[in-house]
Amino acid sequence: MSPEELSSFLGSFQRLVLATNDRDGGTWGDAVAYHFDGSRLYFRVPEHTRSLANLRSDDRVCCAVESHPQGASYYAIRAALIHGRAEPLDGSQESSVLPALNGDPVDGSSTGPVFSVGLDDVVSFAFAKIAYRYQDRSDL
Amino acid sequence: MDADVNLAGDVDSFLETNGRTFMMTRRKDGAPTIHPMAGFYGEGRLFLNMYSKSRKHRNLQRDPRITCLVTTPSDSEDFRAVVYRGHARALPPEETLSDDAPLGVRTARVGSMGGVLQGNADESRFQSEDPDDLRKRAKILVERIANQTRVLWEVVPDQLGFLDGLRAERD
Repeated sequence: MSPEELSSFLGSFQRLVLATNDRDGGTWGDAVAYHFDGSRLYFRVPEHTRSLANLRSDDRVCCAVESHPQGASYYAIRAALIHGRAEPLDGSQESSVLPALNGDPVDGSSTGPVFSVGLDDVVSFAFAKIAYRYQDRSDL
Repeated sequence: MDADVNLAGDVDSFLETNGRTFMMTRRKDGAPTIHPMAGFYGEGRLFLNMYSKSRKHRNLQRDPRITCLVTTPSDSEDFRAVVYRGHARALPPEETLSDDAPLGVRTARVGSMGGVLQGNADESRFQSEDPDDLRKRAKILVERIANQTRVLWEVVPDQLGFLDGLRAERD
């Protein structure tokens, strides 16, 4: 995706999949509410979760935002994977993003610290851009 | 059965219905990473299909520990997820292309459009696809499995259940 496409894509959704390093040496997965302000992702990790315990031990994360509506073809898939270190927000910083996070239908009423991560290490893709690889294959 | 592996009827049903899978491994630098995938589940077993030169394949070769989050579709109003966590096992080509391979493997390889139509795989997954495009992709896929350009991995769980019930911090 271009930077403009990426910004529009990240601004369109409310929930991301979060990967953290687990204290048993593997990884751990969760899904949390997020907000994108044009330059950084903000996400809240509910209290007493395994993800939060992991973050307090190792702040490295991967955040995935993916779109593939039910019934849509393979070429409708779009996604962005954001790697970085989760930076905790202080109280004054949190107040600006909490209204957006509180709107999440699953975690909107949860409590927990808010973290942010920048867009320095992003992989994104839109499979509509590769459909030509198969459409032109007359040898198949 | 391991108390952390809960393949109760509702979990099995959820996995049969939802293929949207987020695969999590560690990168070479030790950071966690995610690859959105199509998970292929059937008869109680989960399989993933990837290029042998891909980073996710190399990550698993380096460290086979894996966490998968299998979720409802991205536009679903009710988000739910199953944690499918454990170790990944690479399948050799002869096992992947065997006529009596497990259902999840047969669906993953989509050996031919005829195979899908004959019920050799879970054809419901492909109903939204253009048949001609699917046939082209399936033929390429089988060739690439035979020459090991693509590899199937099985996720062997030691922790399995709905995210809601596993999310809490462990002692």
